Order: sequence, then structure tokens, then C-alpha cells
Amino acid sequence: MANISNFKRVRSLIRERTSNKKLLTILAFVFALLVITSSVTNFHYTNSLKLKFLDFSSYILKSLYMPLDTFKNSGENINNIINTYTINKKLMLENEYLKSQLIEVKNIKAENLELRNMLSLKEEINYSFITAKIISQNNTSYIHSMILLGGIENKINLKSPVIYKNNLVGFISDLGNKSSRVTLITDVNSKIPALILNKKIKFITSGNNSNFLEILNYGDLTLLEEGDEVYTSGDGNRYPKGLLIGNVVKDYEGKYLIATSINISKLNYVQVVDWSSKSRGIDIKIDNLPSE
Amino acid sequence: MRILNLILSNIYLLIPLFLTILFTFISVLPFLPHELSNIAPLLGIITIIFWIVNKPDLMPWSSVLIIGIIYDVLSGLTLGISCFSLLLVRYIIIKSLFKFDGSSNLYTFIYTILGLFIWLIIIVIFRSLIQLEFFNYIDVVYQYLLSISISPIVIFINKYFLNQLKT
Repeated sequence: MANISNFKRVRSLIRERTSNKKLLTILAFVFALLVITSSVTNFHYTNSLKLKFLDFSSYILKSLYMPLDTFKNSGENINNIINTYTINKKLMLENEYLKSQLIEVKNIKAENLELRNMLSLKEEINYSFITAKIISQNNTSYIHSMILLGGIENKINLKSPVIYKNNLVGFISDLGNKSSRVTLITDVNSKIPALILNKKIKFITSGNNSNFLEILNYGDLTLLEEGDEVYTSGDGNRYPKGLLIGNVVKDYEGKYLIATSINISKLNYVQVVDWSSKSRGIDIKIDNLPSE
Repeated sequence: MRILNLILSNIYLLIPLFLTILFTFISVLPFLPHELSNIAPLLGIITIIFWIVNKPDLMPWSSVLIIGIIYDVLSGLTLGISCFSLLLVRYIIIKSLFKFDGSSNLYTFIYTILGLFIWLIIIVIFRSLIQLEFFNYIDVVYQYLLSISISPIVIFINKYFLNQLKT
């Protein structure tokens, strides 16, 4: 009996303290649904509010990120000091190999220039970039994005490609004054026109919220092999041509996937490409170009 | 002056809200290795569930809405999705709290498992509906399991603050 009375007491106490009034509950749910509806239908209004808050939260994220970054780097630094000799030996070998490759590249470049001049081909677009610091990396299972400390004030444009040493990282999907959000290539919203050099295989890659990319619009993939390097094709004007996306791998079912070329969680900085039409010398209006 | 004193004397009531916001910010920091980075534990969600179970009066609808909006902004989700999911989590937990006295660690853990499940299901449904696209759901299951396994640590940290509040 005592237990029942105690149980009733707890029930009434919770009921009283949580102020679980029906009207308040309904109002809260209606508010949440209204916000979702307005986010989907009236995107620009809610987005501007979202970006203002993102700018504000970038200060908090920056201050929280600094000690974590120091802690993370110190571990790696200790490891580097311990393995200095091995790393140095490895780097020396790599340096020798790269030096020989450089001579080869110089020859190919000169040959390429000569052939281009013979065909009177227009020069490739040379893009500039802005380096921005990563302050947050939200790699949950349902969304893959990161927040950069840099926005309109740093002359970053919406939809600009984000790279790291010629490796594609993603594109700017939200742009605030002081911060911006990058949707990563592994996100489900990311679709990239890609090609495999020397094999003339073109396809669209799509993120699926995992560490691998899927290959869409299957054509003839008989020439495709594990280890093939996948680059951006430059089709659709969304990304510059020739950025490394990743390597072809096979899953346990024998399906081809693309493993991303860089370990995004190890990055501290990325480069935001100035891919606006103006900087590329395009003076006509084309859809799907980064806004000015 | 009287208002300021009133605010200062009641500021401890905002501890659950501030703690949840802090854990939400921590959860979006890149602290996990690459292999685990896309299944990072939902620290903020575990914290909010803890306070809903243990001190529902200090985690009212308004606080849930604020945290939901912060979560949406930080994660890049469509604004309102997290609000709705968290409201649903709070509603269901409060309803089931009439059946249990959720003060023990075991009950808190059980409610965390339930709350995380509801949260992830709602987020995944909304995300798939809005995008009109399916994605890799295996990672969602892994994230759920990792969050559950990390939750005792978050529960004990929050328990410490709860005990401080009581004293």
C-alpha cells in the first residue's frame, strides 16, 4: 500500500513539476512543425537566421577547438619525435622519387604546351583560393559537413569548391559573414561529375553518408579496376577539372565504390576556391554557378 | 537590482540547459579518429535525455526548443527537425515517467536507449523525406550503439552536477 501511495505521489509530483499542460505541448509541436515548413518553403528567410546564429556560434566553437587541437597535435608531435629517424629515411626515398617524377612532368608540360599552341587551344582556367580554418566537423551518420572560420568578409562565395592540396573536400553550402558550412563529398547531397584518366570513363559520384562514394549512372565499367584514381571531370561547371576525388575500391559484394583520397578528420585548414564566374572570365549568366 | 538578484539567485536552474549546450558543442568538434568520425556519439542528446528523466522541471519545452535549434544550426540539418524530434523524445519520456521513477542510473540508462532510438528514427525519416533520397543506414545503427556505450560516462558526469544542484 505504501508503495502505491508513493507511486501516486511521484506521479502527481512529476505532473505538477513538468507543467505538462496540453496546450503548451500542442503549441511547442506546432512551433516546431512551423519552423520545419518555413525552412523547406521559405528557405532564404530561415537560412539568414540560421547563418546569423552560425556566425555567433563560430566564436564558441573556435574557443573550444583551440585546446582540443593542441591536445590532438601534441600526440602526433610526440609520435613524430619518436619516429624521426624512420620518417626521415622514408622522406628521403620519397624525395628522390619525386625529383625524378618532376623531370618527367616538366617534359610532359612542355610537350603539352607545344601541342596546345599547335591546336590554338584556349588556356585552362587558373583559379585562386582562400585558406580557411576548420572549427567544427559534424560527421554524424545522417549529415557530413564542417564549419569553416571564414565567410563573406573573407570573400568566400556560396557553392565554391573546397579543396586540400588538389584533393576535393566538398563545397560551400551555407555562407555567413564570418563562417561558412562545407558539405563534404561524402554527404548524400554531394553529386560530382568524375572521370578516370587514360580510360575515358565518365560517371557521377554520389555521397551516401559513409566514408565511401557510390558510382551513379552505370555505363560501361568493364575497364574499371581497383586502385584507379578518380578525378573531377569539370562537367557542369560545378568543380574545376582534375581534382582528385579518391580511388576505386570493391566492397564485399564486388560493387565498385570510391574511397576518398584524404583523411578529412586530420585536416586543420582547407582551401576555398574562388570559382565565381567573374574570376573565371565568364560574363554571361549561367545557372548553377557560385553566386557573386 | 532586485531583478538582477533574482536572476543570480536562480541561475543554477539554468545548469541543465548550459550543460546540454556545452555537450552539443563538444559533439561537433573533431575529437574522434577518421574511422569513427561519422558515427560520433550524440553527447548533447544523451545529456538532454538525462535531465528530462531526472529533473524534468529544469528541462521545460522552451529549453528543448532552444537546444533543438542550436543542434540544427550546428549540424546543418533543416531548421526545426531537431526541435520536433527532441519534443517528441521529451513527450514520450514524460509520459512514461508516470510509470517509473526515473531517478536511478539504470532507469536513466534505459530511458537514454529509448530516447536515442526515437531521436535517430525521427531525424532519419525527416532527412530521407526532405532529401527524397536513401543513404547508408548501417552507420545510423553504429552511431546509435556507440552513443549507448558512451552514455554511462555522460550520465555520471551529469549525475555529478545533479548532486551539486541538490546540495
